[in-house]
Amino acid sequence: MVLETLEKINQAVKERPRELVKAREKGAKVAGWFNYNIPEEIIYALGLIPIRLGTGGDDRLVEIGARYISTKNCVYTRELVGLFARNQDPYIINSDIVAVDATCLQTYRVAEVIKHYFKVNTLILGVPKHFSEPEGQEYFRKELQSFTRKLEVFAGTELNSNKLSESIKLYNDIRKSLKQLYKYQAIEHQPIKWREVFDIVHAGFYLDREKYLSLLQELLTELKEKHGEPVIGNLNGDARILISGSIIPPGDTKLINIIEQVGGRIVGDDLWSGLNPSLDVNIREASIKGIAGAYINRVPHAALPFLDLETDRRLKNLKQLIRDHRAQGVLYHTLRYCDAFSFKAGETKNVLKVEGVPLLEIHTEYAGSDVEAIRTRAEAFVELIRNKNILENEA
Amino acid sequence: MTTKSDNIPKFAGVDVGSLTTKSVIISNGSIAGYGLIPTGIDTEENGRLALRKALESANLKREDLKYIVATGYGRISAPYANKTVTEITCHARGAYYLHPTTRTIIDMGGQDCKAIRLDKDGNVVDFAMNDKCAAGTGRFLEVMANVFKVKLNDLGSLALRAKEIVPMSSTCTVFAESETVSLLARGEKPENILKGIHHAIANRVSGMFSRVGVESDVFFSGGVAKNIGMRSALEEVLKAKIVAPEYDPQLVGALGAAVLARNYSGKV
Amino acid sequence: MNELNNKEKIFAYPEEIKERFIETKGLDFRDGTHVSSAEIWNFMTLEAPGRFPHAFSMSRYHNSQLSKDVEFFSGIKRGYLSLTLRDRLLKAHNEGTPIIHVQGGQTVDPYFAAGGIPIVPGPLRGWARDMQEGLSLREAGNRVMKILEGGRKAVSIDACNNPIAAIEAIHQEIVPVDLIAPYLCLRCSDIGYAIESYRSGKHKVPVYLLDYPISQDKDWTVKYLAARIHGLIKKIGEIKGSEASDEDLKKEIKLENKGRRLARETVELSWSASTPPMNSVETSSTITLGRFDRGDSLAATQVLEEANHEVRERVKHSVKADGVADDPVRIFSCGSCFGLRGDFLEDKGGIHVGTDDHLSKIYADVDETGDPYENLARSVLSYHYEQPTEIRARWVVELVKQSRADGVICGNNWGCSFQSGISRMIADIVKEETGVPTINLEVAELGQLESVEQTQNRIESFIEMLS
Ligand code: SF4
Ligand code: SF4
Repeated sequence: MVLETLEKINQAVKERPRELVKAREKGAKVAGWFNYNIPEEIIYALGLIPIRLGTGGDDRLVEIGARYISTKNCVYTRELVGLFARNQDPYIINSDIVAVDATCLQTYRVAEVIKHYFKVNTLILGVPKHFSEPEGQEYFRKELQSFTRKLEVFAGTELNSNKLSESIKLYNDIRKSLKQLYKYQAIEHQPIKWREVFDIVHAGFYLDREKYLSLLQELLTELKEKHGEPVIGNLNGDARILISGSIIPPGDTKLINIIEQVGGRIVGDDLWSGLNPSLDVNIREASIKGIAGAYINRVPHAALPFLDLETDRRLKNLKQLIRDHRAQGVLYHTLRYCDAFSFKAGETKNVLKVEGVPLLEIHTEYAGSDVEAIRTRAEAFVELIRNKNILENEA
Repeated sequence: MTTKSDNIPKFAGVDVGSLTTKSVIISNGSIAGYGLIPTGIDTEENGRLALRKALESANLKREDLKYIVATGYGRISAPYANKTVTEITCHARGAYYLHPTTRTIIDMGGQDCKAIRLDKDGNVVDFAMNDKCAAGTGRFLEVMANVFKVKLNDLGSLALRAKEIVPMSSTCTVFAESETVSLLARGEKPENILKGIHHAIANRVSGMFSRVGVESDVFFSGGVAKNIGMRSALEEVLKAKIVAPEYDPQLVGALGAAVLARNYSGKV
Repeated sequence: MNELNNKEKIFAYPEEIKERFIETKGLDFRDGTHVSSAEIWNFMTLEAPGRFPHAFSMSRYHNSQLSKDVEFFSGIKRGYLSLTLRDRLLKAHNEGTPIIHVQGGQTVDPYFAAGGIPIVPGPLRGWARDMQEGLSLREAGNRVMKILEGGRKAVSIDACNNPIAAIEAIHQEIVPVDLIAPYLCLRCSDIGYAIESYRSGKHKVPVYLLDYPISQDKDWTVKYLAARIHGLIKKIGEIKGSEASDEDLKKEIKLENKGRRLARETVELSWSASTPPMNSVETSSTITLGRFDRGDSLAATQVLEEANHEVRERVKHSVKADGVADDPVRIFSCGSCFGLRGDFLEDKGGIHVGTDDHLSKIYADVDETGDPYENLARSVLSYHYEQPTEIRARWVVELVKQSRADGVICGNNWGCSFQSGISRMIADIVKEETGVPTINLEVAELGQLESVEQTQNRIESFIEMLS
């Protein structure tokens, strides 16, 4: 059964670049951003148009980017630089300012590089490594205040608390809807595929956020009418896989294609280009302080260190998602030179082993040369999960 | 040529690898024949040819085969097979068949290298396979044999004659070639450099193996398993005893495919 | 014939300098010990060559050779500090002084003030190597390599070899380290991740991190970092059993300011001299000694004092450092954790005049009045090397001019994602603003023995191009 709203979303994404050009002609300003901790609530409340920048999977752009940074930087950052160097991406062209937070410092270096070589108007937000200590939280509050002041100057308006409340409500609703969508993709008859949901998350990087929310709600209503409440149901012997690890941005379909081709079923993710940004954002008051507190207290990105295994909320979150989506294996995707995720692969694997969940690490880049090698591994992983299912059913 | 047509079902495995294509036929629980040819450009034809050789060596005809499983890189173009399975599962089956106390398999083939963990029933419980890097592969050792101007088969025994190890970087095997050339120019003894290279490879792959946890018995398969220098370096680095395969280590994947063919045919 | 496998040429200090050397002042250490110059001489000529033969190797492939400019006596004493590091750290640890693993890009005042001994990855790896004595150059190289491979295996092949080998040595309990407490400086992509990935290891070592935020010029950043330094002093106090007072801090700051000033003056004097009074090894060692990386800020400052005096004398009498060409090609380097081999450069007619990373440490004085915590924080945050790249580059431009460099080598170490990301940018800015030629270099190894021919080839051609 086709979902009509899906088509509407696709259409809206296609029209978005033209819409942006028009909006800018009428005086609107676009604030592009990348990295992992920019609170869009503030951008939106200031009347700016937030766009999350960055794509993946294009080796040409990677090669261009490597001329400015190095082949020893993660491909995602190389492609980011490539995007600015080539200057053809409609969202990059239409960004009047580019906000970057300092979560992953490789990406922070990208901000320096594009400012220097391509004269991009950048605005940086500091992020503390001691996210759970009071002094770190205080630092982030101060950083976000200063960031907001600069953004206010750029927007030519002051942050107004009504607007901020509205913006927070809008984003809370978007996050809630996305979480609900993730439930639907995990159920028995798969009324919507994970891949479709993933694309919808990416549509949210670009679309007007109010319009996006109404499309999400429309889609949820359609799903509910056609399929009822999302109940996982029978697992049907599928090899249910959750994807974790380094970012898989729009355009990077290599691994996803392979998993589908070898018959694996993706049932969830904890990616920062997927579900993660929608989790665990609890804004307690409509103020900069409230937003800073919420962002710094959510499950942190892998670039921020947890020194204690026992209290590591990332792993706790991953285990919870595995349970919620009834995943039977984790495909841990790491980009070369992404130390934030690569270094954690071994330990994550050991932790999940205790839970009886196998993990396969795929360490890769955007080039196609390793597709066959990855296919073999993904296929063997699917064989392993299926075999495990059979043995468990027999027992 | 006489054809041995009886009522015992026969099963074949075909393993189309990057350097060689192998086929093994089993019948009545034992190996009836095999074929091994270098892999050419036409993958499908290679598979058929190896299968034909195996049939010949077993004195059988194609119609005698009840079920065929294809594996290896060439499995994607194997219309002659009833089913395709990855070489990871096949190696596990083959090693377990030959040596049922196998718990870890180290397979070093033409262009990849993998570690597979088995449970006591021979099921794959974990595995790891190298990424883009050429370390631990037959292809790389071939390049090295060229640099040293020796036969591939003599590389390992030459390394065993070393009195010292020349330390080599394990980060990149592409560097290794130029590094080796420099070391030779310095006047380092070839056998010492070679031992360094074998150790560098062992270090490089052992990082990957530690992810699956090496448990005895360790079974060494793939073309590189014939290299005794590699085996001894691995034993040193992994601190594990490696069981010597009594069967040609290159054929383990194809054998496993044949064993799987027998299992699957029972299910149809 | 193969010079590595046969008897290596071993360096020895000539007897004829002995008498003059032992007349010079000895060294005082923080623990109250005094060592006379005669004792230093005996150690460097009798004891050390037997215990650490690799350090005296003159093989072409030994990349951290002792300085051959034997008339520069303070250099011999600096060598003494390096070669006694192992003994001194073990003794201190046994007597209850916390040994603390730190990272390069930071002032070490708080660690010493709190009664600990900070040790950065390079010397820590050397310490681990020297826990086994009597090693030849090759054996030493193999030992270092083995530790490094252990680290790569435990964490990732993508890891930068510098921190991973150091932390692996700690976790293998090769060296007794009581606390791991580095700044997460902006240069270093690996230290934080590397420490985190050892958290589930068997050997539990206390860890305390100090964030290094990107917004260095803000009051709230100073407050944030000052709070972390407070925590650090507390933490060291807990391990040691007594906490340092503000007075202790101020005293240490005074001492280290003196050391930094001496190092700075010495290097600047050397830059301005018409004939180079120090060779490459002495120059870079003077700079690194100004960051007190040999385990004793007091003895280091005394060595610096002597070096300062010796350089003054040489400049006054136009004495050129031994082994340096008449008009050497002056090479400045940019980047952290990669070194240029002084003896190699000099062999090819060049000389190394400094590295922006190490220099930035001796230009970071701490204010001696007011709240010592905030002052320390301000000093750490003022590190030129850690500034936004465009600002850092402007500083490099100043240094290139001041050191009268003829060429700049921008390097980064394999696995260092932050430096690799901006290496080209620095080179471009420096070239544009100074007209001085630059090259970019990636070095793959920090060990002692790997084949360095390719790197050396490029450096050699660069020098040829400049001369
Ligand atoms: S976290 Fe990893 S994938 Fe993301 S930008 Fe940083 S290095 Fe790249
Ligand atoms: S080379 Fe870079 S990553 Fe490695 S220790 Fe130095 S600063 Fe850190």
